[in-house]
Amino acid sequence: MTIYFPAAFPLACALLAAALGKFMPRAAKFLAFAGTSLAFIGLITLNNFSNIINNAPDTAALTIACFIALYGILASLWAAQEEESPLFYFNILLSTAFAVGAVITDNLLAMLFFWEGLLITLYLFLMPYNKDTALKAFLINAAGDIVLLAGICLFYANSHSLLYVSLIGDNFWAFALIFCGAAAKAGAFPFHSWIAPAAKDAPFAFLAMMPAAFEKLLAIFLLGRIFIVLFPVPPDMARVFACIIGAITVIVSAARMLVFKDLRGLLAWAVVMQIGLFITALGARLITETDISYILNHGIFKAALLACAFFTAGALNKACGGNDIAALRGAAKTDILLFAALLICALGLAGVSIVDIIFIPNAALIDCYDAMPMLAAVPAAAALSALFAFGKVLLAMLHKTHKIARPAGLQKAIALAAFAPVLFFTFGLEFSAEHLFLPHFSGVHTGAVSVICIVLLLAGLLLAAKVKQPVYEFKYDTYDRAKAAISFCADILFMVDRVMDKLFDYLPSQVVKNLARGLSQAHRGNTPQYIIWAVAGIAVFIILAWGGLK
Amino acid sequence: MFDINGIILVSVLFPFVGSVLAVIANRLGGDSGKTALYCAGLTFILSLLALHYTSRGYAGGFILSMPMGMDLRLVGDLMGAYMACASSFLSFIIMYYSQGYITEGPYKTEFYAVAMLFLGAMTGLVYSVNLIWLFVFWEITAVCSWRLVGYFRAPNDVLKANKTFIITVFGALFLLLAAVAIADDAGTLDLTQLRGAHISLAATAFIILAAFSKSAVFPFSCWLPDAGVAPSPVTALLHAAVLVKIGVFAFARIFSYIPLDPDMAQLVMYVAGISSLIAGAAALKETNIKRIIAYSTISQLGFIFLGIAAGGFMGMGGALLFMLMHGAAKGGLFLCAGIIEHKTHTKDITQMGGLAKVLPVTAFAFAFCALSVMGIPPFGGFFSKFMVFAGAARTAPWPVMAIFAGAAALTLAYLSRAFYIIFIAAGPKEYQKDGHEAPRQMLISVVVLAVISLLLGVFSYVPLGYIAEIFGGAL
Repeated sequence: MTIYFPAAFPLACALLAAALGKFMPRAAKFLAFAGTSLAFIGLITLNNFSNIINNAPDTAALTIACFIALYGILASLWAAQEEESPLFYFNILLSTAFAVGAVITDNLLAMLFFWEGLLITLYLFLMPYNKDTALKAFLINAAGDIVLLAGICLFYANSHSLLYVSLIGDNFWAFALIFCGAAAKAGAFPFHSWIAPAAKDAPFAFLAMMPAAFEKLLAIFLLGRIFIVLFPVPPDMARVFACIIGAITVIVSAARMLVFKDLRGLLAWAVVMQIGLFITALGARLITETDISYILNHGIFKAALLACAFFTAGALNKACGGNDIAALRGAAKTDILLFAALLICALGLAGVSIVDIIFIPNAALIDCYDAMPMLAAVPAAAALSALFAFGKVLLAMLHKTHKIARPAGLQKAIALAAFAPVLFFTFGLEFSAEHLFLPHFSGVHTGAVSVICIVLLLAGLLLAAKVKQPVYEFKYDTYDRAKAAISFCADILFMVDRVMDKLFDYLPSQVVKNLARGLSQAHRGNTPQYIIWAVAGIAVFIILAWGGLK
Repeated sequence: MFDINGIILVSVLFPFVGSVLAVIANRLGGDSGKTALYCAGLTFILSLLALHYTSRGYAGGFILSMPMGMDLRLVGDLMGAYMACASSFLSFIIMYYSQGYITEGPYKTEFYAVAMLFLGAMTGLVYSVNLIWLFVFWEITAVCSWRLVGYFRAPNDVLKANKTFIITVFGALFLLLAAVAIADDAGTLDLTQLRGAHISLAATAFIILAAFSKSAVFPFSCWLPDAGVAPSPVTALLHAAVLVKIGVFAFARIFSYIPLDPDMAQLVMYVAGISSLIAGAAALKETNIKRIIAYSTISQLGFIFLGIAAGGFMGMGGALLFMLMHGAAKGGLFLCAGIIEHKTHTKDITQMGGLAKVLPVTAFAFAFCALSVMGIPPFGGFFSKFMVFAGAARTAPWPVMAIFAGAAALTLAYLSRAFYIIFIAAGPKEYQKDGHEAPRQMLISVVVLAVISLLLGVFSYVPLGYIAEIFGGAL
């Protein structure tokens, strides 16, 4: 239980915030900051004493938990300027506690417990802003949880343990279900459709924290655990399966990104696209049987970039009065730092090779090309649409039409602070297979692949406009389709129930009624009965006369 | 300090005495409701004592010798004490709720008297290890449920009560047949003497049929939604706490002594899965709040059967935990439905909407209980569902797992839908907040069950500790 103390701080603060929030709304704000900060400090302490604590989490777990706590701190600071509802701070604290718990735990059941607990905070976060989206997000994520639960149960049935240290799996279905559950929780296709509607109404603190940072980091961490600890040699089918799921997610989100005219929606689809890209690259790395820690590192980068991009969008939203492209005009002139931050995030998320040299190791493209040259089209498509979509926003920001208000100082600071982990990762440390963080530069990728991709990107830019119109008209939501399918199946099953009900209502009474009528007639006697009895009697006589039934 | 034998005997007899006392109290001008409440409370305390002693290794019981091996033998073991504790606690809460719900009317005393009789029969059943006495207590509950379901005495209510009675008595006859078959095979009706014995396939089939009819498994499930015509405390008592648990408990009890044939276990899993799926789908389509919750009960009972059929600590232990978690949460849901009906004067959820503003405490209680039934952490249902699934993953074929995964998804869907339509979405009619949400007793009861649904999750190791001891080892 000792290892859970960093999660206990935000949990205790959440309970205090719930108790005091109604009477002292400011106390909730303070508690949110204090609780998340204490979680951060607790994690650092746990790291320092990990050699004397039983079952202490490994360095990778602690580092990801630290990032979670860090984004919790930033979200609480951000929210302090915008949100008055104590419920929001309660949610921040509870989410941080659950997310930290899910990462530092040493067994799968506790991981599921904490991760599934995030469902409640997800619903509570969204409920005040859009009730329908809250329900949608809840149901979609809960469906992902059932998949994860089924996978963990199968894993347990095979290995008879839930502790990470004693687990090594070889059951394909257990692997597939855990993998799908983790991908679904992160928002991969077809579990992605709640993110874009949520981005429309939800506050930026939530967007940066939950879909962009927490869910991504948790998914990346669990996927890392699956491939490094649970299934060091994943089944062949799983590798291709990962590529397919990832590729579909990327293509769907890349297409949707093109049609958005506001930064919120754009970032929401970028979130979906990044998880797709991550899964594709993971599958590709597995196919080529190269070290996957590199791609995990890449995933953490992208989560940091997305969180940073959401905070930047939030700061711009406040200053410009909206996130629509039209509203953002001239923003670059007012605040060059935010523009630069968004530019770097955009280029990073687009995976532009020239920026890769400085910031993002564009492993996805290389890996996909190495695994299957055709597969390189997936990250290329992702890069193309991201570049085009972000390009619209960035160009609008450079436009000199009107002067807008300056972003709030603290918001700007938070947006830039969120950017820090990107730099930290880029120039400092990397996540290695041995769960250690080793000093390592990100590396430079040059060569034919990058050149081909740059050419592809440029060609795509010219063609993108033609693709746009059909994408505008294309509306597909798996959630709606699933709802319709479930409703149809439920209709049929309900009919079965109704039929049985009618049978139970009428069959016994009809049987009893007919039996009573028959017996009553037999008792009273009538001609047809006499004939039947006579015929039966003759038949019996004949049988017996011929030697009986011997 | 206390004698375990005395505790077991008194905890069985006390509700029967309480039933008579409720009538006498009414005759003498007293309050039958309060008399029943105190008796239920004392039964709970006695059950707690029994749990305390049995968990510390004290064994005991009571024997009343009868001819032809039909001895009334009550054995105070941990499994019985655990179940008696859960049933008597929920009955106590339901009795307390009834103090605000059934305050007057021509059948008030009858309600309390029959409810106590019901509790007595349940307590007798959980300690009974003789199949004939299991049958006797089983039948007493059938008679009680007949009177309770037809409480309002409207023609339709009487019809539904008759339906409940006929189907459950029909099931009880199978139990009798099973007892005859077992006596024929093994020469005894005492379960403790049958430990490890193999019984005929026919006897196994009869027990399964009996359990299915009492615990409303498809195709014998249709009486349960229809029994929703009864008052809310009755539906909570029948659907959540006691009646439907009898079948699964008897099934678990018998097959904890006698090994269940693996083929029959698989058959049980399939039937329970189909029942869960059909009931889940029906709950998604229904618009009557009580029928939705009743269908949900049928659906969840399938999970309990799955766990028992899977066997082992994870399977059967999970099923025992599931009974407790489900009892608390589903009891809370039915009692919330009572408050909602009290406020809106309708059971049709399409006529409701936006009630979270009018009934905030009820909305919270409903949400907590629903989350527990869904199996969302940190609520109690999470651990029980996990254990049942983990236990089943070892022995159940994959189609069974797939069916139950579908049923679990439907659970999410119908409970979310019900909560959303009742409390969140805008309804056709605007309800106003006037005065109190509900009488104090009703509100306290639902809050207690909601909080317990949460606490059973956070402190799940407490019931799990007892369950682990049932299976002969520390957790």
